[in-house]
Amino acid sequence: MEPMASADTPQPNEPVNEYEREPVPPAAWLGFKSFIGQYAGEHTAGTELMLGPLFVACGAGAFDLLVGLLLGNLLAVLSWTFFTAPIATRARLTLYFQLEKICGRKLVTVYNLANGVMFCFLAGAMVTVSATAFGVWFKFPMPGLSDRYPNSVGWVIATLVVGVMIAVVAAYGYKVVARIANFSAAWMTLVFIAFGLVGFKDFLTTTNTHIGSLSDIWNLCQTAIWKGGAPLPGQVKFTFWHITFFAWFCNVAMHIGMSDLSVFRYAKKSWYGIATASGMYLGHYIAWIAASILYALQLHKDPANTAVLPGPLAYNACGVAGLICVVVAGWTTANPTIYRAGLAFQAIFPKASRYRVTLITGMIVAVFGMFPAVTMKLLDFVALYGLILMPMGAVIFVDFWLITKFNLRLYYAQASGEGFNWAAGLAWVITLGICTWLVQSGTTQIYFVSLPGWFIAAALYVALSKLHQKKDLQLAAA
Amino acid sequence: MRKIAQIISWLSLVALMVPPVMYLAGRMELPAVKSWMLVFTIVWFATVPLWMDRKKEG
Repeated sequence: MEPMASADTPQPNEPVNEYEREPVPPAAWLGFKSFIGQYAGEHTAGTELMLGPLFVACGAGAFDLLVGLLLGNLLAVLSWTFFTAPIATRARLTLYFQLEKICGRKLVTVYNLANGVMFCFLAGAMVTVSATAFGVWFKFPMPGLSDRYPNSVGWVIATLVVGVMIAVVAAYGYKVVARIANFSAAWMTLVFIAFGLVGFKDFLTTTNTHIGSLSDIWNLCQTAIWKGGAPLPGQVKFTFWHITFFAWFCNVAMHIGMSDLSVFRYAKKSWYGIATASGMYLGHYIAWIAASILYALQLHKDPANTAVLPGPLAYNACGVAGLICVVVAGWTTANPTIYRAGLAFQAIFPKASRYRVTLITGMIVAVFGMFPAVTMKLLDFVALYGLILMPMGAVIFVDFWLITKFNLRLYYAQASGEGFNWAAGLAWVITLGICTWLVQSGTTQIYFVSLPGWFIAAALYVALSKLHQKKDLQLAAA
Repeated sequence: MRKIAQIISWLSLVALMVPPVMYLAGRMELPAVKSWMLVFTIVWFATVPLWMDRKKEG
């Protein structure tokens, strides 16, 4: 183990964070291929094994799932290409530095806190996914679809062991896991495809179906795999539009929310945003569909067995290779998530050691992973995660493209020296308040609310900037 | 050596897909699919560190 390092000590085992407070120079720009590989790897994750089955639990029909995902993922790719990448390749700044220029350091700290907490829950879900693989080996009771709390000592021990291991590695051995993530990306995608092939064959066998034409396949999809109809108890009914919007908005924090400014600031051209299609169509199309087939098969064989447990699902399909896939998929994605959460928290406590903060963050994640509430409600959580971070994306978009058209200052916090831009802060909080009201009042569901939410945040930021900036301009004039 | 490891890695990935495809075609039993997938997984992870991400280190 390496010694504890202070914040100022060079730390070799962590990702290189370059050009944090300056535009990325042309010499460091990357080609199209880099982004294809990065997105394909990042979006074929452990949580895909939860999301696919949850669509089935929500009563998704064949057309709704297959076409809804196709359209939703296309909208996500277009959002990266036309919202995120054009700003990233012009400003070439990290999300945090760009936000700091607009919002001020104090507001960015609040944003960091929100981001860090969300990352912790997300990493907790990945710990939960990995722990289900250990349930197959050690045969302890695992949580069901409606469980919110840990249901066995074995489960508690498994999640704590997995979580603590991930935390230690995230703090001390980031580089090793980053390499394993690179090694496993292509292999993992193929294992996901294998899940789908094996699951589909088992459906043919159990339903005694003989495929003579494409219409036979479609008939099997509609009548046995994705039958539609009522959702399982405790789940929301998912229609075509639910699936489309979920696929579009599950990464809303990254595209419309502008988190991936930090990624695309390295892109030579803004059209490289279409490279995200690799992640969307491998991870959020093929992997979701494959995982959903395995769960639909489980329900077909035993309708009473509604538990969404990636470990047993993967083991039944592909044996030990499937289990390794579950562990690696959860681990390699939890690792950078914990690391990023640690970085977000470290911005709040800059004097604390980055290793110590990451380790403590990982321990919190391990405890979160013990509770299946987030994982079993992952569809809702992912929508909430996007909603919370999305308004700041609207603020960045408006600030970059529109603010000067309203005779307002670009990068107002930087220009005025403010630590907390109240126009941006209030636009964020009021948007979340209105969106929460829209959901609570039943006007719209959480899966859709980010769309009106973006326009609300954009309009509020302009209106509040008019009020807020005017005073400063008067002061400046005086 | 590096080139050989690279070829074996990519072949193991191709081979990884053969058992599930043969299972779909009704030409292989599931236990055999699971065993062969594990074998090709081991081959992949044993050979891929010999060449992937090695450019910078060299």
